[in-house]
Amino acid sequence: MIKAPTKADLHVKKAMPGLNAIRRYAVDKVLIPYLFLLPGLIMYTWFTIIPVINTLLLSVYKWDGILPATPVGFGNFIDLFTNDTVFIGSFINALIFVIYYTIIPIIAALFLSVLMTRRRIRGLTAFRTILFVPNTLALVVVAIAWRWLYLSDGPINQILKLIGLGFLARPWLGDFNVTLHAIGLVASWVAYGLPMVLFIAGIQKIPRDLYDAARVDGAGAFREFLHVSLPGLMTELTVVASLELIYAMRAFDLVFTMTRGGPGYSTYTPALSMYLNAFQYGMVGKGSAIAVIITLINFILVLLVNLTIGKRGEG
Amino acid sequence: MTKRTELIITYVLLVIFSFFAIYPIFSIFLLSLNQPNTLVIGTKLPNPISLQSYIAAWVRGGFGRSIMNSMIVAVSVVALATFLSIMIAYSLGKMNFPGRTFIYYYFIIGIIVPYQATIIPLYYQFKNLGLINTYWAFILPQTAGSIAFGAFWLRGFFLTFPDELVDAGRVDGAGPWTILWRVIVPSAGPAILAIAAILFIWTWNDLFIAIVMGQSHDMLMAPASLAFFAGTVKGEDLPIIAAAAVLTAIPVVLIYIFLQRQYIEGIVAGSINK
Repeated sequence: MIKAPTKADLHVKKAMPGLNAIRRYAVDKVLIPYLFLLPGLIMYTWFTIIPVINTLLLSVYKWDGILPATPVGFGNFIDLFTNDTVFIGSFINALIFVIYYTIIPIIAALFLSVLMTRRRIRGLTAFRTILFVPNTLALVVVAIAWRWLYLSDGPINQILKLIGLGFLARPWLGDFNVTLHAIGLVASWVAYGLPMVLFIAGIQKIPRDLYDAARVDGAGAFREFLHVSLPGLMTELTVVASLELIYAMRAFDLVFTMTRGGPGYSTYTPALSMYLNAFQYGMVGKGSAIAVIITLINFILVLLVNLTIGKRGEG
Repeated sequence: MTKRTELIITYVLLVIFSFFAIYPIFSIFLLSLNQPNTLVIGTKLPNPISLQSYIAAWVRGGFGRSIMNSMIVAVSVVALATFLSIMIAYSLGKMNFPGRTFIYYYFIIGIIVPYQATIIPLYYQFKNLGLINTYWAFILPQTAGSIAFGAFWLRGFFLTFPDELVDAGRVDGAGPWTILWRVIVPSAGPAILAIAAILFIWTWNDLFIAIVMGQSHDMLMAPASLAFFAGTVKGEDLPIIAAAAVLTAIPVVLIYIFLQRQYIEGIVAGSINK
């Protein structure tokens, strides 16, 4: 006869787990989960986490990559911010790029996503697919295409001359005053895709009756946007702002392919000066210091954004 | 403004924006259809249409080799990173164990860390091992760099997988390994396809790892090859560079055409669902 366990039996079992129970716990709750994690964990630790720590260590040395390194404390960082005009310039360029990587794309994306969701649009998916294309291509391919468009006798200058704006024509990638902005516009052309698809998905999640109510109240398109769409997109906006700011700080592919930082040093970015210092000029410590600065800024931006979203609670 | 005029204005604006999105790509495609060594100026159309520039890029520019390199690396990274991400996501999403939260945040770091933060030690590590200019120097760092996002992304998906099905499998006597590959993964096909597409496109498009780890002409990935090639040629060779750019873009465009819905929705899900 099988006796149902009484409350007291269960209590005893809980209080004094047998060897079997311990073994079972060790296998089910520790061994198996970690066995599944292990291969990825090793790979990720070896080729991402340890290199990050080593970059941090390298940043306090002066090293040419061959001879023994000499420790310099925060010397590399101090040198970067006080003496290295090229790096300071590249940092200012990154700040200017914020306009092109973050502000312009977000405004364009808000406009497009409202345009595509206000009324039932036939072919919405097709438009979304086409408009997202620039975001999928390799930045090198994008850079090659725009290098050609920007040539002195290229399509853009030709069209400008054709429509009587020939005085605006210039070597877009060879002019100290405009090249950074010419590259920035290419970045905007690439970067609006991500916020656009996020905003479209975000607006589609906003309850329709909020829009209906606004329309009953006689709200025009702009007020509807201001009072319904925009408040509903706050999560998307914060996420996108942080991602695009990070891209602005990491910008490399476009300048590397289009100008290599030229003319002069006018289109240097932090990532480009990091690459050049570490792999071309034999200043590995300094390159590491720049890498540390880029990474720190990334983490601060992500943290700020998460705090902002966290503050908004579950709303 | 009536509904009708508003709709018309909407379509007109969307068509204009679409034109601006497509024109630069289309113009590089037109440029590539010119014969090599023709000086193409402005908006002139190719006449006659020729595939000679593609042949020149493939053979003379060594792009055949670069495309093959990129294909080997991207396919390896996608296979390896997807496999490892599935296992991590299963552990983090469907099991309860001490240290789970810590491990989760440990992987989150990898999403934020840029390649700039790892590339210098990685370069010297691979140099010391004599692995520069081998596929390992591209595959290992990019796999590691993809695992964090892949695991994070798939974990979000596995969390929504019904526990009852997992329990049912357990009652039938299936172990965790069998449950993962026989119960969860088959039902997660679209999600796995989406993450594979995203990882393929990111790996294929990467320039940074590619220019640091590829030091010989034979071991250039397509984007690196394109970037170096473009830096050395003169105006008359523009159609060849354009052809090389189109060749570099083709695999990504194909994946995008066939998987655009999964790809875009995958990116949306990966960016928002924390």
